Amino acid sequence: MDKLTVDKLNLSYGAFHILKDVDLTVRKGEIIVLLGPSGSGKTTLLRAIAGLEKPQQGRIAIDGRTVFDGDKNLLLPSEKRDLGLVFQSYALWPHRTARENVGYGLKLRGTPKAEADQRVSRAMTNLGLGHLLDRYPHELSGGQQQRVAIARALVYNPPVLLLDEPLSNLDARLRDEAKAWLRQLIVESGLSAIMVTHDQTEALAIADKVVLLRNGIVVQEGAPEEVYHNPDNLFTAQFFGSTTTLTGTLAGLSEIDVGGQRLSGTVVGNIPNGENVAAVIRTEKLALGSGPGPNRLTSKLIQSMFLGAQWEHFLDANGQTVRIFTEDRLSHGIHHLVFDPATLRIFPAEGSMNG
Amino acid sequence: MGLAFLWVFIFFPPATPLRATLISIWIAYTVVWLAYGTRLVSSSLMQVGKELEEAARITGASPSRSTRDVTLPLSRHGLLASWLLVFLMFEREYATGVYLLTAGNELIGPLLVSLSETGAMDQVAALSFINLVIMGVGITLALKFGVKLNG
Repeated sequence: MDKLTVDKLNLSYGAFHILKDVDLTVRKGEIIVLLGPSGSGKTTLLRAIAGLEKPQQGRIAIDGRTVFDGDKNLLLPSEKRDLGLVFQSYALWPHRTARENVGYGLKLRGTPKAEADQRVSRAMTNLGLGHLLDRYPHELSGGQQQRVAIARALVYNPPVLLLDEPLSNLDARLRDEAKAWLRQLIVESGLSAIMVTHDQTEALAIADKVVLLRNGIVVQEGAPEEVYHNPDNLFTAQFFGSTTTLTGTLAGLSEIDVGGQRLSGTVVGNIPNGENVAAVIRTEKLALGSGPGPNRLTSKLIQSMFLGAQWEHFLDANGQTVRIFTEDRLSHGIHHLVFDPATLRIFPAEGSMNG
Repeated sequence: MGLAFLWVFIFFPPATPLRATLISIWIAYTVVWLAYGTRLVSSSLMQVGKELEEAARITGASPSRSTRDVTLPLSRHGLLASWLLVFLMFEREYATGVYLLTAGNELIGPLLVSLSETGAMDQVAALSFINLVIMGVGITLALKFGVKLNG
């Protein structure tokens, strides 16, 4: 059964149209990650689901119960939606201990004290916080505060757990651990969750389904491998991973003409011959060829950087910059790059949007 | 402002019976200093992060419950400090109520002024000392409830 459905949701602040006809479905046990650059509306969408922002049109249903309907003028306040939300800042109440923070939701729901205490201890112990029950938030580390915030949102078994950039306040090492831990926790508890992030690697790692937003519109959604390997638009292709974009015109059935060099790739959609196109290839899919040949990109080395595990090189191909990684140092001069035509994806050109 | 209140209590029929009572002075002080007090109180309420209240709402608290459980406890010090400031202000202020004073309904501030005009310096000294004691009690109470004078 669908735990959450969002239909044609529209939200504006005055003249600013933040969300435009957004649809979203969360099935039971599914982790959805809302991903997008800043200003794409991902946090606004999460807050609208939580009842902290007021949309104008559309419909939101949680666990089969309509909580917002623009046509019927129905808007349930946050406290009637029974959701759990983890804030980016954690928003723990500083005047209450960890135990009181976590237990507040149960207290409001009238859970008998003995049972509430037991559930709070169990939730905290599950998250490795069993010994910190009586500490105040300022006596906890960032990672511990994050766990308390998660425990507070989980303890009353909400149908959907909402997470607003939960990992962004942790330092890099802790974030990597928390990523694996968070996914495991959600999957093992059989929860349904929506998480907002601007970090693509975090999104790909945690999500069952990634929803990529741009300017309040869902650009593409699908399984992480799907959006990574089969982007159906230029924005998605450039958003994930490290890529090189070549601009030119479409020649033949599936070739791009880059300043006289013709490269064959995979055309996405219907593009008329001679049209301006942009071809995107992942940096890791480009390799050095032994010499010139058909479907090899001839380019000149401009700059090399040693990154430790590998070298990163910038090459010039008819005035366009190409990036490749190699294990060894690269000699100056002309190089011929090879790639599999299936990995060069050709899209209709538009202004570069990968900010 | 004080004059305006005198006129209200003279010419506005429903208010005239109150003119010679402490209630008129109380109303005048409340209205005149409301903006000042609101300013102080709102800045201490704003110190409580919006997300802390939102977190309470999401967890299931109604707006009044979240005010009671989160906003008020967290802004308590600020609210008390605001009260203390307004209290100290009123203790030494005399312009607001000066036109509303009647025999037997004097405020300490204006009374001190009129007594010193008549030259009754020993009475002025005694009353000033009482005033100091009242202020001391007010400050002690505020400190006891957690107001911090520095920072």
